[in-house]
Amino acid sequence: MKSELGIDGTAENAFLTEATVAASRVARRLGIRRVARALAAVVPPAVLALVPLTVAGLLWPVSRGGFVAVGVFGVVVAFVTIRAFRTREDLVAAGNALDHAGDGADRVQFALECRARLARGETLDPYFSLELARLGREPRIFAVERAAPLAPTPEVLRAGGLALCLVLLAFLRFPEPEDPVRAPRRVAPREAGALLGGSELELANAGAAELGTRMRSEAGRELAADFGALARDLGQPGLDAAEAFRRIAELEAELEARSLEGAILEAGWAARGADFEKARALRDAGRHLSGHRPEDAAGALDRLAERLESGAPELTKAELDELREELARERGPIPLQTEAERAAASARSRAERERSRLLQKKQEEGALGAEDAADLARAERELERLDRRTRKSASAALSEIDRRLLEAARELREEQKKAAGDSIEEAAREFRESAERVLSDREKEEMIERLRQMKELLRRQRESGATEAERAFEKRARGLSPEAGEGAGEAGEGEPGDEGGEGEEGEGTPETLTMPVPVPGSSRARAGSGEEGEAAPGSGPEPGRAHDPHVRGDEATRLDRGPAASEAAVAQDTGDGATASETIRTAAESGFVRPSYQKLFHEYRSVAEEVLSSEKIPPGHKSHVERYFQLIRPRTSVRKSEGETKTP
Amino acid sequence: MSAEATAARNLETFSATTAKLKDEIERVIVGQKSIVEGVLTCLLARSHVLLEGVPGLGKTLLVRTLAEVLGLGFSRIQFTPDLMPADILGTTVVLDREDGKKSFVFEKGPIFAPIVLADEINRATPKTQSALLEAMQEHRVTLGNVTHELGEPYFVLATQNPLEMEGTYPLPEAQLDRFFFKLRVPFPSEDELLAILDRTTFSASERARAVVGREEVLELQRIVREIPVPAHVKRYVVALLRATHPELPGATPAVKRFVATGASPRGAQALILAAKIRALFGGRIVATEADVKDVAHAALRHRVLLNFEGEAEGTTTDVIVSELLERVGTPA
Repeated sequence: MKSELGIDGTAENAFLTEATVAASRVARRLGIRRVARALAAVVPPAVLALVPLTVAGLLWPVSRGGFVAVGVFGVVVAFVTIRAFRTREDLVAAGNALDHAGDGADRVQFALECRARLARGETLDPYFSLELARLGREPRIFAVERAAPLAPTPEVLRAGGLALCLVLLAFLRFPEPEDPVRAPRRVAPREAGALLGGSELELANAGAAELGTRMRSEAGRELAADFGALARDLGQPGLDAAEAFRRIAELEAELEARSLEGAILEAGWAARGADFEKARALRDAGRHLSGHRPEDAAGALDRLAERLESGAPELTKAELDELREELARERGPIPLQTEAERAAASARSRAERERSRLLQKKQEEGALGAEDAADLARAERELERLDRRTRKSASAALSEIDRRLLEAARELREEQKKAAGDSIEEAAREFRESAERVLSDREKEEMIERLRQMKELLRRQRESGATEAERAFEKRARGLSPEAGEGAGEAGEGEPGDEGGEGEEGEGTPETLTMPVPVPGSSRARAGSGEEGEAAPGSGPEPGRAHDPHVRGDEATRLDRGPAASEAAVAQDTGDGATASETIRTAAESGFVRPSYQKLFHEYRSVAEEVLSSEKIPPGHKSHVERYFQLIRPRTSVRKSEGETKTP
Repeated sequence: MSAEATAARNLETFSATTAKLKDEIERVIVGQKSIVEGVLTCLLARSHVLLEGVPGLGKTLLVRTLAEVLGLGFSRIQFTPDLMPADILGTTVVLDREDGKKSFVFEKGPIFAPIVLADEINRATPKTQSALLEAMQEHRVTLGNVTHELGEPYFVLATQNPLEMEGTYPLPEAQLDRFFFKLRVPFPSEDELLAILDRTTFSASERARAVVGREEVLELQRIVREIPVPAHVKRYVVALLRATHPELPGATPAVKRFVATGASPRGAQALILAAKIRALFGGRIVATEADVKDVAHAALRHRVLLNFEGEAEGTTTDVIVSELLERVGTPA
């Protein structure tokens, strides 16, 4: 039977086929080797050529030289690879390699020639036919792997190593040297449109994280999660200040609601504890509940349930009767007059007032603006939320406990001790769950403090211009030079820590000091009077307490009136209009203006407090005013009144 | 009879005849198998061989034995500096006829024997050496206006002594090129030497018998020419030959540096024919690259001429050929 090539013998056909297949395989492998050789030839010079770019990228990362080098290198490699693959390895060369790897009999090349001739329709020479038949009879082993081994040669390995070095070099980055002047702050920059950024945002997030770790109860953790979400949102664009303050207010309301809920629960526990103490079997649980320790009470109830189920030690009949009676006791609503309830009522009242105002406005004007409508909707939502919270949470939890206890009482009546034990266990579990809903005082305080800090942060961020002025002023208030910074005001006049005794009389030209911002210490001390200090005159952290003898006023104008005349207020000629400033003549007088300043400070502060309490001022602005007065407060009065030992 | 059957019969004939030849020669010649094969290769290729070796290695014995086993005439010419061409080719002499008249008659020289041993051919002058040219190439001799056919087979074996260079005349390139092979006769091994002593130091030395006739030799020569050679072998031979030429692209570094002139096309012919015969000796039909490589030194060493630098460096043509075999591959 003849094959498609016109060969008669099966063995010859098989030989031709096998030889062709083997040659094809070798051709493919030779193609791979050719690619590897081509790459091995082109990679080293390419790497050397691209090294300058890579080094440039290494030294100046912003130039991206390394990445460009890797890109160019990749293009070169791809080009060489494609070109090498497109050059087809012919079968004759593959057959030659195969024959050379074999025993030198040139079987494959001969087979390929015969096949080619037959494919062209030629007739094989009789001697070729005989040889073909002979080869068909012989065992055939084609050493494909030996003919075209794919093991990497040293050149290929070297090229691969160089390429790897180039890539690693391109991606290598040295840590940037710390530049004390130009090094950027290691804080995330504020995102465009975000309320907080940089250190403020980090502070907010850190506070949220710390809050999360300190919250033990489930309610506390929920609040902390909301707080954390708010802190994160402050760093994102799209949240304006009004919305941020509204969310803070919501959190405050939520805290109040939780507090109220906790108060209700605690009152409920106390009421049930008083009842439980009447039954011997429930006495332990009752004591714990009265002491607001629901988890311990739950443990006592668990032990009671176990006694009921196991019967060891068995409850006496009297104990069982007491137990049934107390478990079945009807419990009415709990009167609450706690602080939390009052706070919740206050919040509710505020929300209702706001709602009423807006509704009235609507009735008067016929329509509300978009902002008012939003406020109205918000107020209504707040009311609903408070109602829902106070109505549902606490009472529902207590009701569930009572239901379990009643169930247990019924089961005891039916002598189903095991079922009663299960119900008591359920009641214990409810106690535990309700305990999770109560914020501890510490958690409440923590939450309040964090909210206050958050508001302060927002205010500072929003009023950054004012804040800068405030900081500068704070430095001056602490006896520092705002220009020189903290380090410049090291000496000052007077001894640090001294509470400021009476200064000695000084000499000098009478001088007026316009004091829109009255500051003890620095300005006055520089003005001239004071005891000679150990250091050079200047500004210091503490108020001065003496005059500088080197600075003296003019003889003619000197006021030498003694300590009694050391303070005076001279009206400034301000024309007809009102003035907001007061001129104090002090410099040439002996002593400091502290008594006068203290008086002035308290006057201003009392007025400010009165206005703050009477007028409707946003809480943030109130805090700002308070902060202002805190910064300018007279140190001695603070120490005396607050017993401080160190000025902040 | 089909072509394949004929081919098979021819191969069988070749194998049997050459086996007989080898066996009979081996009865007389101790060892030197490669030399015997080389000489037979040249005979079957219808060409001639140049043997190079020191005296006493059995060159003359080999030629004589070959003549005996072939049943052909044999003549030996001892080349000397005063040897004249006429001494080889023959000369016209005046012959007294029976009728009393005189006539010129051509008296054939020793070159007219079917097998000629040109002993120490390099001792004759180039003029005398050249007298062999036409005989070796054309198998005929032209004297005056008369051409004398030498008959078939015609086989010249020339020897030369590599040691004695004084008073010798190196063979001209044209002369060398007419030798199919240049074989270097090696010194016998210890065992071969012992066997030589055994066979040659007794009164009755072994003499070869004629086992093959003239017609059989011609048949063998025809079979050799009939067998085809694969294309890749021919391509390899061409690449190898071109690589011997320093002016051509495929030349190897050693060729470029040390070779003055590469091998002629006769070298390629010799390689192909010799490879075919070697394959047949090995029981194969088709010649391979390995066969070409095996015969390359013998076929090319006298066809590649070294330049002055090569001579000065002491490089041999065998080194050049070895490098060629190492570097030249089959072109795709």
